[in-house]
Amino acid sequence: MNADIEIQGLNVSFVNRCCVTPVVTDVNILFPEGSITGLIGESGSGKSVLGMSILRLLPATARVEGRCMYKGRDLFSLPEAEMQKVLGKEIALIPQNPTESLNPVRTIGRQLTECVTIHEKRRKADAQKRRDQLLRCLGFHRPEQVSNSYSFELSGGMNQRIVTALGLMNHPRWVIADEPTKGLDAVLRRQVYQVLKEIGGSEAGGMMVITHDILLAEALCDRLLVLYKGCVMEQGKGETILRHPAHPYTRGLLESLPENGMHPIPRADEKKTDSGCRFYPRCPHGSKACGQMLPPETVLEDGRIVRCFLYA
Amino acid sequence: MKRTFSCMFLAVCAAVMLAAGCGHGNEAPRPSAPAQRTREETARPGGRDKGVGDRNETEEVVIAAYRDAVQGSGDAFYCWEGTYVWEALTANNGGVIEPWLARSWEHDDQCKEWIFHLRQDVFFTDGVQFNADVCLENIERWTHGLTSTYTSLSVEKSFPNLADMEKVDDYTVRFTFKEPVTTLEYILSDYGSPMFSPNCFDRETGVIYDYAVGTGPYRIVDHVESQYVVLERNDGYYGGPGKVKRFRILCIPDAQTRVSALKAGEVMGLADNGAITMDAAKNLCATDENFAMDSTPSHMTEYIMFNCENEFLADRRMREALNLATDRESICHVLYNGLLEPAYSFLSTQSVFHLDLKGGYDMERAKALAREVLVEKQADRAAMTMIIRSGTASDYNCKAVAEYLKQVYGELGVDLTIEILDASIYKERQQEGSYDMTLTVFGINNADPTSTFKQYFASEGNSNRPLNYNYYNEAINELVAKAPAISDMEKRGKIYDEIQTVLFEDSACLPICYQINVNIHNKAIKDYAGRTFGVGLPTISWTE
Amino acid sequence: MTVLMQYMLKKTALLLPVLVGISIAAFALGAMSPGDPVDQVLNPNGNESYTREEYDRMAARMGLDKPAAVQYGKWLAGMFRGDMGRSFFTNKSVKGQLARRIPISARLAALSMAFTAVLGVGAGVVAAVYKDRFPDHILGALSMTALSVPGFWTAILFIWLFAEKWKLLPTSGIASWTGYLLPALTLALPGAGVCARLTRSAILDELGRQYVTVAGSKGFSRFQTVVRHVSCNALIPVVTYLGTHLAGILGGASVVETIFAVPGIGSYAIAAVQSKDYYVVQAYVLFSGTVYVAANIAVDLFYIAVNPRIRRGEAGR
Repeated sequence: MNADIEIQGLNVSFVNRCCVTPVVTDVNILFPEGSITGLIGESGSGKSVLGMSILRLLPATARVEGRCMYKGRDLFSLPEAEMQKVLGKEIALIPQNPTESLNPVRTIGRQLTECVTIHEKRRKADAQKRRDQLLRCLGFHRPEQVSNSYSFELSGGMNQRIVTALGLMNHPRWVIADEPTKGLDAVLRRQVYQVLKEIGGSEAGGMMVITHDILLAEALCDRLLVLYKGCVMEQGKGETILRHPAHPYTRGLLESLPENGMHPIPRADEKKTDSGCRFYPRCPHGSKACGQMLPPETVLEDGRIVRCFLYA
Repeated sequence: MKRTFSCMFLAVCAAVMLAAGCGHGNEAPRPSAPAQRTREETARPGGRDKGVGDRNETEEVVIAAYRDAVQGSGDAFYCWEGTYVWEALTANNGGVIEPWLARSWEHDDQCKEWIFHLRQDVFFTDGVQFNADVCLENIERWTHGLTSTYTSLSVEKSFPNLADMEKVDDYTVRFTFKEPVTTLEYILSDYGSPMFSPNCFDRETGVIYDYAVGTGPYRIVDHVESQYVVLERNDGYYGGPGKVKRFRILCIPDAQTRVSALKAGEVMGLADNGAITMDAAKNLCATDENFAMDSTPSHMTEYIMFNCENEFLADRRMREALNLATDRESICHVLYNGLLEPAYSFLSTQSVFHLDLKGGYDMERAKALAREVLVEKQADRAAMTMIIRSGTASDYNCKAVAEYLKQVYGELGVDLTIEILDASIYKERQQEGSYDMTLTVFGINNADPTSTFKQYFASEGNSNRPLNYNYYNEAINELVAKAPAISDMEKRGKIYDEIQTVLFEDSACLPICYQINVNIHNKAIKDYAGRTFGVGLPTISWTE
Repeated sequence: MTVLMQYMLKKTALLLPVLVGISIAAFALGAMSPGDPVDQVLNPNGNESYTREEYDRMAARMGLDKPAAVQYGKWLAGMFRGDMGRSFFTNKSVKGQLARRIPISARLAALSMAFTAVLGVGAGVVAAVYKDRFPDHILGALSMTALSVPGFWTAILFIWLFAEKWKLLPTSGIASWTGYLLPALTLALPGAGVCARLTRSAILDELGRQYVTVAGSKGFSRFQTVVRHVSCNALIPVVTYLGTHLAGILGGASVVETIFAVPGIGSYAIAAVQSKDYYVVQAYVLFSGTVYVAANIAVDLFYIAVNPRIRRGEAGR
């Protein structure tokens, strides 16, 4: 069966006593089976929320609208029990903040094997074998030793690899890697990239990499999504977007990279509202229409989808 | 927040409705309902009720008291007299001294020599016969400084100024005294002379081994400390066996719980001091026809005692004013539901020497007298403190009486501050003298009034100065000195009458009312009668 | 010697000075407070008089004629010999009474703790899992009620309900094991209320942590997450509370024991304090102190057992 993930009309907002804050607005994405898609954007762009919303792991204050089609079913309307069968088995998470993501009072080994045993109780021995195999692949020469340790006894880099193993235990069809290189130094970043490149491809099906590290996205991903303030500004083949950015934001993002001269995107002009295009207050090309309504998503000839009045 | 409160309200309502809705409503506990078998004996033989006699043999009667009926080896008396395990030489039955283990006695004219004739048909439950030797061995036992939670026991107390005691023959004992003792039979009654089998106590120390062996109609067969005592009938009792074969006396310290146990049918009756308050008993009997109340006159009386060192109270007129302002009739009728008798005379109706005096309630005269005293002392009003021991206040409803008196005395110009104090602090205050009057309840254990009058009202009385009553009356001192020497009971009685009259006219203290012991029982048992101590176990029987 | 054993030894060694300290304090307080045990013994009913000689004689017999420091010293010496003295009034040996009453109080405390733990933790878990929904609200109200309502009121209510009305349980006494149920429940309620609220907030705290989200991503249901992952961490504050709570109720549920006619150590202590029965009070204070220290040690050991950071951290270095 087609294992694409297709998101239709996703709107996520956080509700508290005083107000409703929109975090993700009108997102429509197709993640083709087997592809590696990068979700890039600055902090606060909603990339993690987008990723977590697919897994239905957002806090209780979140209100989610839209559909997420996977294997012919809308994941958002599945009953809890059904969703639990999907999570970890078909769609898995490699969480961010590895040390925080591990339970400090349980051994690493237990936390890894339970990924399997939660779905199939009797496969404990198999789970342990799988765990040891994965750990070796990830560079641990003594998997038993690591399995008996606790997260606080291991370094940040080791925890990052373990957390990667968490996502891969069940050979899932999809892996969502949330900020895999956040806070890591160059050496570790390279390690993570290598792991994801080699193993991600062989052990899992498709992957979504949520990151603000554009270089990682460039090296790792086939497809890219550029998010700004909850809207997908541009999505398409990674190479194309990075070489010839269409959306003004994408352009600005790339120009601000240290390699490209670090030209900052101009600050927001308070006079301009962002009730239309989110980027309008900072966009050098903005017109009146941009401030009034959200630009539609336009398909360009090379298959990219851009949300900008310039191409409408 | 609002949601939480409404949920809390709903939860409580639901709980209460649930509770009220279920259950048997106001149905009274049926005496022989199966649920009460938790404490009862094993099933009766034959399976069917063959009549009362059968039931008396097979079903134990359970009653409850506030304390453990058996205090144990460390106690001079080992167990409560109400267990009917031990007996004494004489018994005080409502103020009248009756022969018990001593069938008769006589004394010489000076009351310095007393001869007791003991019964010849009495056996302890271990087979030992009660005779003069045993009697003297028991008296010997009281020299070892034994203590008790009930009352003190010593040779000095039971035989004051004893010179010699000797066996005249197997069933006759003679006591000789250095000073005349006019009321020996009173002193020896009940807790004055407990008799135990010599095999059950240690000769050297006087301490009783487990269990005490007495001559009474019941003996102890089982005892779990602070929980229960099981008594079984002494079939060889010289006075004829009791009706019920087995009694179980439970120890339930809390008053409310005792009443609950009664209502639930777990116990058939309550006994011992403070078994149930008068109000509770009256209410229960009024609302539920399965219960009957029994009241016996107690030897306790409620008094107001003065600290006569107070400048106002030192004046007889002020005391009389307070006396006249105290409407005993109303107090008894309203605050005590008409259950108690008003008291004017110091000795209670339980005493043979009680003098029936009638006081009056005269508010006008009281005000006049009080005004006289206040004017003389150049005071507008007199401020006084009344202290009450907290145990007394709760047991005898004294708080209500005190509040009433505060109101009434206020009209005389006396401003009363009422303080209810913890027992230790109360004692301290008394000993310091930092009070003006106290509302208290006490009884005269020793049936000999002379020592009581002396104790409270004579200048060298053991309670007068130490407890700061500070009462000084030459007339009383003389009378109290005269009385012990007079051996003729009638003549002595006249002196006691005089003393009581003097105390009454001088308003030395204010007796308020004579207390009663209230006993309550389930009508499933009958002939449940209160005695001076406890209830008459031998007469109790199942009703059907 | 392992770290653990060293730790145990250190804690136990501290027990002795603590006990001596509290016994001195108790003795001093007893001596200073109003009331006179000699008078109480000579005059139990309040209306018997006695002479000065009789008083002195009794005081000498009771050992109360010596100065306070000497009295304390004698008592301490007796304690080392294993002699706890006798009650002034009942003459019963204190050691015998304790030996008889402590097991009863222990049984009551154990049953009560079971109720507290089960009701409290259970309610707390349910309230946390169903946060802000109906079960949470109703459990919140119930736990608030449970911890505010005074024990004697609950006791009376229970007796009326279970014994008088429904006749399911005895009104009082421990003649049968069912007699322990009502007092245990009465004792348990306030603790359960506190425990429920504590559990709920502890669990909610943990639920906010990242690893809980990760557990969810593996496919755990909320309930499974709470039970398997969160409980260990969340229960740490709860067990701390339960530990000291146990020490408290073991030391004397005086009111409940009196109302339900349970002859335990609480009712013993209260009667002794009221009548100034020094030896009994001293023994009770020692027992109570020991229980508290032991409870604290137990809680510490629990921390060590449950929190690998402490275990590994101390041993690893």
